[in-house]
Amino acid sequence: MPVLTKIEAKSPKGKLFHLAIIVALFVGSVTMIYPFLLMFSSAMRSKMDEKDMSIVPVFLKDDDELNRKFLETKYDFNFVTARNYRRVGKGIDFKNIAIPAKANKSLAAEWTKFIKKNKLPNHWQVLGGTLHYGPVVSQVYDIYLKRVKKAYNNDLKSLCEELGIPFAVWDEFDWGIPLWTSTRYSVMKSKAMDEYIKLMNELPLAYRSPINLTTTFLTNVIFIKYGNTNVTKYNLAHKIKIKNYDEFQLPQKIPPKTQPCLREEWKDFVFNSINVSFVRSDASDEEYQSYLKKTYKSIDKLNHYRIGFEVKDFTDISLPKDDEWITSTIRFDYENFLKQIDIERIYLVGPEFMWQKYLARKYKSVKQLNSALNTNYMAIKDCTMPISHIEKLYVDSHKSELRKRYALRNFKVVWKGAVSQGPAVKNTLLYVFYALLFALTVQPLAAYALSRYQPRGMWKILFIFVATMAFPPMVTTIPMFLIYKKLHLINTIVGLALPVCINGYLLFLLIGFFDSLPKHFYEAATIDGASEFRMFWQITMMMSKPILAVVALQTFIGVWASFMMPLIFAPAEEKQVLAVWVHQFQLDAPTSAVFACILIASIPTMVIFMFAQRTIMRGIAVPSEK
Amino acid sequence: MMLPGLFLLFFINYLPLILGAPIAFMRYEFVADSTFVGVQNFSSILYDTRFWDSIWKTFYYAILVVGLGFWPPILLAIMLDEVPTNTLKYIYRTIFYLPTIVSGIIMVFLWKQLYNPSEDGFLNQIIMSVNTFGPVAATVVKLILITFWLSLVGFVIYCFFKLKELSIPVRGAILAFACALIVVTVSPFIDAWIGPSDLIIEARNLVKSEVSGWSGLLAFLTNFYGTFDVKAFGWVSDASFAMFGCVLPMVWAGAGPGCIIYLAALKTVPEDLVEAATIDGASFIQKISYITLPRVKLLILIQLMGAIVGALRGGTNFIIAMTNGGPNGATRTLGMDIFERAFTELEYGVGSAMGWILGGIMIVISCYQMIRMSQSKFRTADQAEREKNDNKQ
Repeated sequence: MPVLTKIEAKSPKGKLFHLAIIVALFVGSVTMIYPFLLMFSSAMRSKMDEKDMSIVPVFLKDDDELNRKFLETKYDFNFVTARNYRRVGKGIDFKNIAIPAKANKSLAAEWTKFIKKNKLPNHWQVLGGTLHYGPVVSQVYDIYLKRVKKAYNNDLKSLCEELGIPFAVWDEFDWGIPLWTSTRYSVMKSKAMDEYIKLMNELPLAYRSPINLTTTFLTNVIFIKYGNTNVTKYNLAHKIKIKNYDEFQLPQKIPPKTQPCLREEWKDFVFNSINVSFVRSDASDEEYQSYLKKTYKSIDKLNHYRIGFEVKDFTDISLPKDDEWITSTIRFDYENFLKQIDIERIYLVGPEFMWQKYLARKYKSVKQLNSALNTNYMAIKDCTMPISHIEKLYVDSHKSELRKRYALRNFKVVWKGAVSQGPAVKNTLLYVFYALLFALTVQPLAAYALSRYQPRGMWKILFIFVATMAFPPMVTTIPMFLIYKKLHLINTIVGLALPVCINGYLLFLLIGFFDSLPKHFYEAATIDGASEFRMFWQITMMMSKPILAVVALQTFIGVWASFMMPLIFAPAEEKQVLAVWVHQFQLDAPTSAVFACILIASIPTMVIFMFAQRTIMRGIAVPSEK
Repeated sequence: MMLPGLFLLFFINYLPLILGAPIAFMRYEFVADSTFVGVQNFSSILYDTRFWDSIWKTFYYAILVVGLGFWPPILLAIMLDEVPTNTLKYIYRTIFYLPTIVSGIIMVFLWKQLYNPSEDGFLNQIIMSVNTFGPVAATVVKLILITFWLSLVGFVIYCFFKLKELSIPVRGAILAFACALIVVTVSPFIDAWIGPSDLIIEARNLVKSEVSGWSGLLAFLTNFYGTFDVKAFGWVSDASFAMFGCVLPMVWAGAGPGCIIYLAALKTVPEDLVEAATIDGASFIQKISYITLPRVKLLILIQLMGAIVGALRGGTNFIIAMTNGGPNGATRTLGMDIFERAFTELEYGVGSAMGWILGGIMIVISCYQMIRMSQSKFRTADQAEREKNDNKQ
């Protein structure tokens, strides 16, 4: 009943008053809704922009931000990986990674042509986004996992045996990305690897990362020595002036003696920090053969030391070709061979040098190249691989698709984990079912007895019901656990539902409602010889449907929110209820995924409140003096 | 017919309690045999300053919860009741009920994000956004805030003098509140007059006459104009704010669901009384304080009891998730202490004994609540309506 009467409300003062109230409530509702909107937008974010607080995630509006998100996903949420394969500008995380202002289409087209013409060997490139990062994975990983499943005929055991990694479930599958540049890396032949290579060659170029020897050099040698953000130390040591590391280009051959510092670093890099598959020399096969002859003396000895190696004569042995992967069998010999020849004869091989060679052959001069490709390189040896342009072009042409994918991926993970694959939702529904069943039988029965017979000490009995609520739950937890264990109720949904089904407040409500039912129904029924149970069922229960709806609703809300109880009394994974699942999930999931999880978990309560608001209102009992 | 209910109650509530009772008198071991130690657990608690500290923290927590969380639902209900159209009423009600859908513990995760103490934290971003105001805009904002605060204080004092017909305890409460507000308003000025303590003066090499007395006051007054200089705040990692920070989410989430019962109660206020009062020329505040509130007095009292019991026993889950008793024990309430003793320090016997002490305190309050409840009659709004119609006929 509004205090302001209708007549008062029509006066200007009353109108002003109403306006003031509406405005005040509006301000209040903003504080209610804002955190929810924030949660909603956070659920669409990822590790990179988790800390942002804007209501609309930036990547939904901003193309550069979308591009950064693409990079984040491509490089497995790991900035160091990105730095290994790509120039990152001044960035120290994905949020600040350098993005070209405009995609150079002709340059990108040239790169595509180059890739088509010279098929890069497998060990010159990697496929991004195949790692398992927490529960949130990229789309590439999903496709890859599907392929691997198919390749192994869904047999997880054979996969584990082949890779030598024990995975408990398919979703854990992850064997890392091949570390081609690492000095001691050896390829394990497996079906998973074959699928990886196959997928790498199928997906758009933007998903691939060619090995970048310059950035590898920077990460493995320069950054360790001089730090990765500031170039002053580097400039001081090398007596040159570069603005940032993006300007740096690794020379294919050892730098001239005028740059002693870089020379040392280059040497160190070639012999210690890079896989020998990327190092070649202009030595002839004969030199190599004579070196081997000198070391091993006889061909039998060579065959003996090189496991799985069968050559008839030294003359059959030749130096590896430029694009050949040097297996661990011959790596040792080859490495030592390189070490003993003149350092000036050694050169690096890799996609970037191949690209420069390709450009040099095609365009002859830098001027021609710059005018044809819209670039401004000083020399052809400054040409970098246009990966950022390829990525930018891909992102620009798939904007809406990528936006949708990034916005929904957290939700998808939660949906997959809790609803479509996990037992959490099934268990919770069962929990709700049992709790409702008990709550709607035990409580009305007790309330019926108390209301109909009005036993003398009714309030004392009610007091017993309520007094226990005064004790802190920690006191009873352990004894209760022991009792449950004795009765084999641990890890059963029924056991969880038992304590929920009696609640002092709801009992009051039921008693109050039953009290108000007309007494003459019972009198008539008694005269007709109805049994007590029949009266309970046919009169009381049938007439109190609205209040039973309230009891059901309150029980549902209580069950949906209960957490400690299921956590302690049903810890087994196959008996997890949703709240426990959420708790488990938030332990190792990124914050954004946790928010998505919270949102999905609160949909049922939300929907129920939307539609059952009237029922809730109807069930509220107000005390008044007798 | 009560048997299933009673049996379940016995089985779920009393049996564990009875079985748990001896534990309070034991040195309880989870794997080895427990030994009986008599009342040693109780005595060791009573001579432990940490226990008394946590008792004080519990009461501090309860005062905050009740003091901050109890009246917003009432105010909200009165305001919602005044909203002219039903659609608006429905929308507002739904909005204010929103926090409930995020079940308890999960709400804490949300607030922990908001409380992020770094400069990127959501609340910090908000409070620090005032720093960007220019001197003029900042002065205007400051003046508005001061006016708002002064009008609140003035309103409470006005209520005290205007509402003479209220009962003495209620008037006393209003007077106490008004006095508290006046003290809060005046104390910064007095602080500025007295100036910092000698220790600080010495440590910072200040001159006493420059930082106290008139010059101190003048320096304080300069804060009332010019740009803001707000720094990142620690929120729950700040010991003096931590408890407040634990309570705030509850106040935020509790207003909407809490107001629903008052909304139902307001429906039972008879229309004719309000109309008669209007004709007699009663103002809005008079109508609220002489007609509406007395009608729901009993409900308020019962709710207050419930709120106190709830505040004393509850909140442990929230505090565990929010601060885990920290920083430096600033939020270690009794429930938190029991949890720590029983499950972290594995002194289950001691924890159990503390639980019994807490339970004992609360049973007293519960008893009073029960007595008041037994003297009243519970009706839902539908029933009240029906009875009213019956009476009319």
